[in-house]
Amino acid sequence: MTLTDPKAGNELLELDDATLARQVAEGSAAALEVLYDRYSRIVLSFATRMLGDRQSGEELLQEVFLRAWQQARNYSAERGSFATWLLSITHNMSIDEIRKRRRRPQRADSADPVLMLTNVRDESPSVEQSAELGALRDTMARALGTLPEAQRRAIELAYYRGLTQREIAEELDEPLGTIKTRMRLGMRKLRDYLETYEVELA
Amino acid sequence: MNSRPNEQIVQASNRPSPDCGFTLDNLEGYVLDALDRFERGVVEHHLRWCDPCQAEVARVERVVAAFPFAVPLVDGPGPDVKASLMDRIASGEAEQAVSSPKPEPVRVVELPKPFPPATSRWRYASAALIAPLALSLLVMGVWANSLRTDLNERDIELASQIQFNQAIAGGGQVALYSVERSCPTCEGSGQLGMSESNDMGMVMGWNFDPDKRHDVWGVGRDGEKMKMCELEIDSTGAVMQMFMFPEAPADLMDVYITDEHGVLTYVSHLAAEDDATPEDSDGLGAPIS
Ligand SMILES: [Zn+2]
Repeated sequence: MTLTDPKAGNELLELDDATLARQVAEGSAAALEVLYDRYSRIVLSFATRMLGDRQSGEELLQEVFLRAWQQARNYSAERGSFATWLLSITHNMSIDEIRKRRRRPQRADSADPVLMLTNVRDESPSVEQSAELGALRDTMARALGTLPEAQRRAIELAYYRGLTQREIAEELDEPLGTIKTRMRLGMRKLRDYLETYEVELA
Repeated sequence: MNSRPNEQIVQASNRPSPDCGFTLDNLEGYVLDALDRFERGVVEHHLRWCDPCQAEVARVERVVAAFPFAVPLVDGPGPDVKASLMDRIASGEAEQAVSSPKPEPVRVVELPKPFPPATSRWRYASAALIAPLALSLLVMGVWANSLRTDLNERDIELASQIQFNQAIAGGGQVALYSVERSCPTCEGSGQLGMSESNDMGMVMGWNFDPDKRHDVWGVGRDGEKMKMCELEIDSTGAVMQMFMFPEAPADLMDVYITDEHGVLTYVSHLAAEDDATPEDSDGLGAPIS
């Protein structure tokens, strides 16, 4: 589908995310299309990492933007950027899907997707959607690089697989208190790192 | 943070809360949604009125919000994905929700289980309260159902709990009091919630000794004590429980929790300190029944 009025489309391209989101809330599919062009790649990248394969990622991408279409009025610019809102929808929907899959009988070959808070700097030197996102990516990678493996793993299992601390403790065969401590220390380290470098976190 | 859903909830006690510690210890697990249901309930409840803890949550939320930006970028989606999306929108498959603003999916405390009446007098009193409560629950169910299209299962459950809490409050206020230790070996802490509008109370706590019996008593102005319920403590020492008062809480000065020997283990002072009964101050270990 293309924009019905190309001239209107060009004007939309000038608008900021919050304004576009307001227009989406009022029923403008053209505004949604502009937001899709801005953020579909990061949403797809994230969804693919969450679900483990590109096809699932593409399916989720559509669902995320449908959700954004339906719920744009719930977005509030005061509470964070549009990209953050979209990515939190992506995370919630991914976790729902992951938990659904977990309740189904597991096939022998359905290994968990590789966890991805790691080694991100080596990959994809390709063009970023914006310099800002690229800078944030680098900073996150550096911050994650400061974490001991065990702390990072505890955080990853919660964030990427939707496991509770108790489930993580069972999976890793470690005491619950140990997992809680690792998660706490790891997150505090990340927080301090990012705050020290005054990264604008969304 | 979501906006605070239940502004009528107030902190009636000006004592420092014992549960900032618990909340601060579990912030990261909370933001990563890795807590057990009960733990999450306690944190959520605390966050409703504790601004400093809310600010700490916001700091951690900012970190988690940045996680998605750390994944390596894949190639963008092909034009067919966008075409299919825009077709689905054009076909009205995903009609935008109607214009009435939707309630946000908010996380709130867990649904406490109604406790079976402990005495016949109690049973009689509570029966009169069941009808309005049942009506509230029905309304809540319909409301939760209307959200089903855009919230996941857990959000619906949690949204229902907000309504339930509001049903407890009956549109009035829920006053919160600290649960204070009254025995040297007691480790538990928590909060007592009281609704004046329909005589309901709620205990939330943690680190209670699950191997010990704990009874909850209301203590009136005249010193009369009335058993409310026995606490149901789970294997982790957690409690999340609702009960009803046989009399208006206005007549109650304190809520006591005793052990199996009737020895005072925890207390919540409902009345202002200066008008507390002398019995309050004698503290440790007097059998109360
Ligand atoms: Zn606090």
